[in-house]
Amino acid sequence: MRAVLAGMTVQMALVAVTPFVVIDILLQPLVYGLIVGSQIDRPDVTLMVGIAFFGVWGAVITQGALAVVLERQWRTLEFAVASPTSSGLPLAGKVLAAALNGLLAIPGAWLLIALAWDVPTSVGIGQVAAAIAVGVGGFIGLGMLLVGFLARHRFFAGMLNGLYDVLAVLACLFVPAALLPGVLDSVSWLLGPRWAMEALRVSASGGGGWNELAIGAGASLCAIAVGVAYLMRYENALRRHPEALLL
Amino acid sequence: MIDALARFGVSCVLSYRALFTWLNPYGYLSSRIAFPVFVAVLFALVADGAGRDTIRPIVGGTLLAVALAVCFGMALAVGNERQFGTLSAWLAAPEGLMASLLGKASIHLIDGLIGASLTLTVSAIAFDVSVSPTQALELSVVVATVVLSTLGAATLVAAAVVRWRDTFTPPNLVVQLLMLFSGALVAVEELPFDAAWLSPVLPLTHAVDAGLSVMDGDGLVVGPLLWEVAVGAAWGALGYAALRVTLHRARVHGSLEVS
Repeated sequence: MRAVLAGMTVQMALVAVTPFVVIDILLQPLVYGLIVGSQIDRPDVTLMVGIAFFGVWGAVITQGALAVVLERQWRTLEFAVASPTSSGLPLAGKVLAAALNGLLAIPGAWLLIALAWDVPTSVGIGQVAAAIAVGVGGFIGLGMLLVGFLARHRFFAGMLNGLYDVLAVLACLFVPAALLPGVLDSVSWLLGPRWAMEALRVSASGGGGWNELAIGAGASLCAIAVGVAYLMRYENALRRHPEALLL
Repeated sequence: MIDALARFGVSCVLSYRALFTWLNPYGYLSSRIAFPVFVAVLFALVADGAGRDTIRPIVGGTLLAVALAVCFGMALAVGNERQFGTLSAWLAAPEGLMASLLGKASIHLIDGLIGASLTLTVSAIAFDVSVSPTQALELSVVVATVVLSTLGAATLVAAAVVRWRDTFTPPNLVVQLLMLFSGALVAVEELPFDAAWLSPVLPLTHAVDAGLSVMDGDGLVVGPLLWEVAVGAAWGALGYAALRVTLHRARVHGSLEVS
């Protein structure tokens, strides 16, 4: 636990001195939110959470990837793998910190919608909090998978750039799942954030939405479990295939 | 003349291969194909869900593909010169700054055209939008003007990259600005605040108007295209001046190679 917290603390300190993070967490999500909000009848909590999730995902991709890529670039990945403490733990902490950083988009999104349109109030606060927890959990699981993948395999510059918008579509952050074409819809079933967003949409239109939240919680927990297992085993993989330690 | 052109061609290819670090199958596919295609798909889905016409995000996404390629390409081409410690050698070359900048941009412009074609094809198929051969030809003229106008904006991006020693923040800021205020993804008058004063001075805005006219069946409208080129030229002049000033300051302060 101490290793996870140490990873989180270091990541938070790094982020505080990185201006580029503001683009991932705030600027890009808010720009997308403004474009989407200008086209729909009444921007509400669903849009606010969609913007926030986009911020979380942006933070997880950028910060998660940088955590591994910089370790490799600074030639410290080798020491991390040789360390008696599993280096998966601080990496998991870094992903958690990235997701927490991404949550800064929530007040930004709330303020944007309140100033531009109206105070978003269509769904109860408890359900919004539950949906955010489910969605962020899903992104943390995805982040751990991503970081584990990048630690096991060589990183190629630019390889993550397309993921921002692909996930925005698949996780239904700005459009209902009913609009997704068949193949994309099938893939998106695996993602907890999709169910969190759908729960909010059902709730905003007068339904319950708790079934969707339950499915989403299950999907997110599965993603976290797979992510943790993948991340914890990456050191063995690296010891067997040390070429991944190279630049 | 032919010899000079051949050397220019070699310089373009070398610059692209050495400095465009996204030139690997994963990076290229993700950055140059998936990124613009999914921007168009995402906002076309949004428009579809809101019961609006999907033409604007499809045309706008197509034009944005060019802007993305050129802005990020130039940022990487110039930013990596500093990163790799070759900035002074680049600037000392007899080629000259203008020719060198054009060389750095040229293959990214071709990349932008490829990205734009793929974005238009995929999104038109996905949203069942028919594009006649005549419209495709007219759209290619519009795309060509965007190539010129975003080249101007990308020169300013290059200057900012050198000035602030940050390869990714300036192009990202410009791309977000274009997404929001150029009308590529949403009509500017629909934004919840008045941005009508800003939109006409940005690259893409007039090209989006021209592209929408083409898709409406009105054919090529020359006025917006001329404006697009003029706006691009203005940004290019500003960018070139900014780059010269920045490089001069860097020489005076001996900070050219600081990465």
